[in-house]
Amino acid sequence: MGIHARPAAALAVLNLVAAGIPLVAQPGPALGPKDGPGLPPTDTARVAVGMMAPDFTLASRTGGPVTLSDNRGRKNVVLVFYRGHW
Amino acid sequence: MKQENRYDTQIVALSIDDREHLDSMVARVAATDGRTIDFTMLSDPGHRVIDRYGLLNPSGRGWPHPTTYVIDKSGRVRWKFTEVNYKIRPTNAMVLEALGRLR
Repeated sequence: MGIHARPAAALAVLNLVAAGIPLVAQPGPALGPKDGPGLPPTDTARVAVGMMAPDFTLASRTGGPVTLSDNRGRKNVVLVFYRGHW
Repeated sequence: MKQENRYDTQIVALSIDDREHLDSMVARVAATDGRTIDFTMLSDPGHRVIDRYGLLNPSGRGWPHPTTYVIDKSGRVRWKFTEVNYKIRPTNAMVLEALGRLR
């Protein structure tokens, strides 16, 4: 009785699922914010000093997708939202 | 840029411009100012990240209220400047001072 009685393959799958590793190949990072669907778009005080910056992945001009949280533990980020072309 | 290296920092600029518009802006800056843009430029054409940050300017065409964040290595916002008047913008000195306080 208990986990020692389970076949090794089933236990390996359980460990993978527990680790959060997807069992199906992903097509690639989806672009956009990683959370917060349905939040109103104008609420300028939402992301304030002291709070975690919402994570996202977007396409960069010169290369592939860029994810904000890739900088964690490595670099500070100056994140500039600007108007763009008129 | 050299000062940013001293502060261990990546500069990321985000707008609704798509790659074509970004390329032409980079070319224009190179032609008129002779300067190379070497920071990361991201496209948010559907303003979904702009919306997530609550920065959508409702009177525009998906434009954000121009805002600069300084985010530390743990992912936490440590400084923020929202422009309400396009003539008043954060200076490099202000951003560098905010970076200097991060340890």
